[in-house]
Amino acid sequence: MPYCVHCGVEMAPSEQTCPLCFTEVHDLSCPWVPPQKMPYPDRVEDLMRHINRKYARRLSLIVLLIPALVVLLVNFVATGGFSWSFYVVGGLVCFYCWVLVPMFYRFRRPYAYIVVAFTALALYLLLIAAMSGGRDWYLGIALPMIVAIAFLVQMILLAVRRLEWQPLERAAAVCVMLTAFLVAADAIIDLYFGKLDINWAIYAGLPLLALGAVFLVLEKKKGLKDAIKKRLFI
Amino acid sequence: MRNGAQTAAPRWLRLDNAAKIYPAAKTRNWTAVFRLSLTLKEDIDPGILDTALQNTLKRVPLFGYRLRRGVFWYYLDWQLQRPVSEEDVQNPCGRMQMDKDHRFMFRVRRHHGRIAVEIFHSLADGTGGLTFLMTLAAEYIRLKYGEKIPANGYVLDTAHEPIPEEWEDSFLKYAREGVRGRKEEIAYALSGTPLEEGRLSVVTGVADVNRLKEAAHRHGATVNIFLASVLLKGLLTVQSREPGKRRKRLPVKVSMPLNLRKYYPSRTLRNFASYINASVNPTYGEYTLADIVNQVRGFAGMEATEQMVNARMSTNVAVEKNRLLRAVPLFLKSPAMKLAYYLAGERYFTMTMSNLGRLPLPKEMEKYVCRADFVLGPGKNNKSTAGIITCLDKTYMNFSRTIEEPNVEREFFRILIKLGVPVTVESNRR
Repeated sequence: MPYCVHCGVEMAPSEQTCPLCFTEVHDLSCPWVPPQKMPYPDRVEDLMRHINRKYARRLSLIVLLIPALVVLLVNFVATGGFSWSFYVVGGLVCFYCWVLVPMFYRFRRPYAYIVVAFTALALYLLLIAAMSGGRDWYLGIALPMIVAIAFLVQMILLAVRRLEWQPLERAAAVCVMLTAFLVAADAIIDLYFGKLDINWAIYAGLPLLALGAVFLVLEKKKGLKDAIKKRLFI
Repeated sequence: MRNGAQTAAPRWLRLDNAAKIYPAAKTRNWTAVFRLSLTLKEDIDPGILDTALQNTLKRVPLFGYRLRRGVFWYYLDWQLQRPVSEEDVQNPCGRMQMDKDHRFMFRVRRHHGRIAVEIFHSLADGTGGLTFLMTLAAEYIRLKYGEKIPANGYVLDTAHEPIPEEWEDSFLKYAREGVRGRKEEIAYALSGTPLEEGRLSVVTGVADVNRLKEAAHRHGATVNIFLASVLLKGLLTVQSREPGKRRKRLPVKVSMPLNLRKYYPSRTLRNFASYINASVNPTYGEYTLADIVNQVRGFAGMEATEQMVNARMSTNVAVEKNRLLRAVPLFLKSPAMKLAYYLAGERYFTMTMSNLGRLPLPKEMEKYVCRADFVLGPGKNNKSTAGIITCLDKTYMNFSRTIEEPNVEREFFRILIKLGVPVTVESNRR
């Protein structure tokens, strides 16, 4: 029987190519012919209960389209144009992006989903702002807050998913990020009201930073960590 | 079809301690299944095999139960049905549909001379499965060739009545009070291109057992320790080629099941196994095979003692005995157990390597049998597993995986060849 030139394994008569590296092996003196008895039959058992994601996506879209169309129709018939119905349609689009997109689309990592969800929210609020004449509050507070929250969520996900960090190190990173977010939120609100004066974020952020520092110290001091574990009986 | 084979076996049984997690952990596309097969020199006669199966089921009534949902736990319910064998398939160890009526927790498949038994892990472990397979094969040989195979080792006499010890929960019987923590470091997980759902790629390496023993003894180890070390070495090579830094820093771990019957005089055919997770940490430096063998041997020496395996077993039993947990209804308990399986089930090891050792064939059987195989079904999350069994003078190393890339088995067999152990490979690929 022939040998694979890459792997060095002898190949059983059933193998035309090496099952370990897929190299085709030619024995010029004895060309490969399929043996009468293969180790496994050709029949493949299909026992899978597939969720037809494509179908589910279409179905969910139709289920959402029905109330959207009804609302648009009612709005048009009642007022001769489209006005308040956009609030409902926008809400449904938001619902789709926040709830149904993660159910029916496969995200290998959650970051893209966060971008999709927060973009949908930003656009929905933009729609509301445009329809209610709220350009100021949208640009002044809503949009910066959405960007800040989306950024915070992405950063927390990044930290939590870093498995090489110890759990307490991850918790410390989350504390630092929350503090940074509080400062940003305070600044956004202050700037909206015309005066940058960061105060409450400091009171809220300092305990968080202290907590983060405690987590880091605990992580470094194995003895202390073990003692606490022992006392708490974790 | 009715079996009518109600024996002394009780009408229903509680799931044993190890079995409880599998029904909760199963998903619509995955069940914990393993496969044992014995290949005879001549093609199998389906009619005779079915008769042998009925006779075997009377002697081993444990395999006649089906899985049912109770209020607080899943349980095994006796059924008066008669299983029949079926043609084998290219993708073994597929999901078992036990939730339908009258479904057994095992299936018997045939292909040319091969009799294969695929078993849901809640029913039995490797020893229980081997006992069923060997008794079935012995009964088949008796019916086909008129050769009486004496009851010995894994072969039971179908003329005898079953004994209650065969379906006892030995975990409960032998567990003590001492418990130990189960927390471990999360292991490196293999990655790759997933195969089409429901497919399983099986690559079998066949090696001469004496050559393997020589290589193992040169390293001062048993065959089991040696093969686990070779696998760890292969996994380290695969891990070193990972693109991400994070994955390269995680420890590589191989889970090695331990047969608890070696420690206790149990005759149960149900689950009675524990495990040890041998590991190497790539951040500690480079490892030669000799280093890994030393480490695994030392680790097994510490962990595979009666006291340590008992503490591990007792921890699981203590959870099962928790009154609060017992009082929680199954519909609440089941998702919690699923989560527990996700968090602690497969994340603590990179892959499983189960070695059933040498299959003791009765002399009368040897002239009819040419090989045996042990295939572990895919893990729920882990992409690759290895099942090893030795029959006659050959060791059959079956690697099953749910990803396209055969990197682990390639590294494993290449190391063996470099160590002077010739390997012949075959697969279920077309």
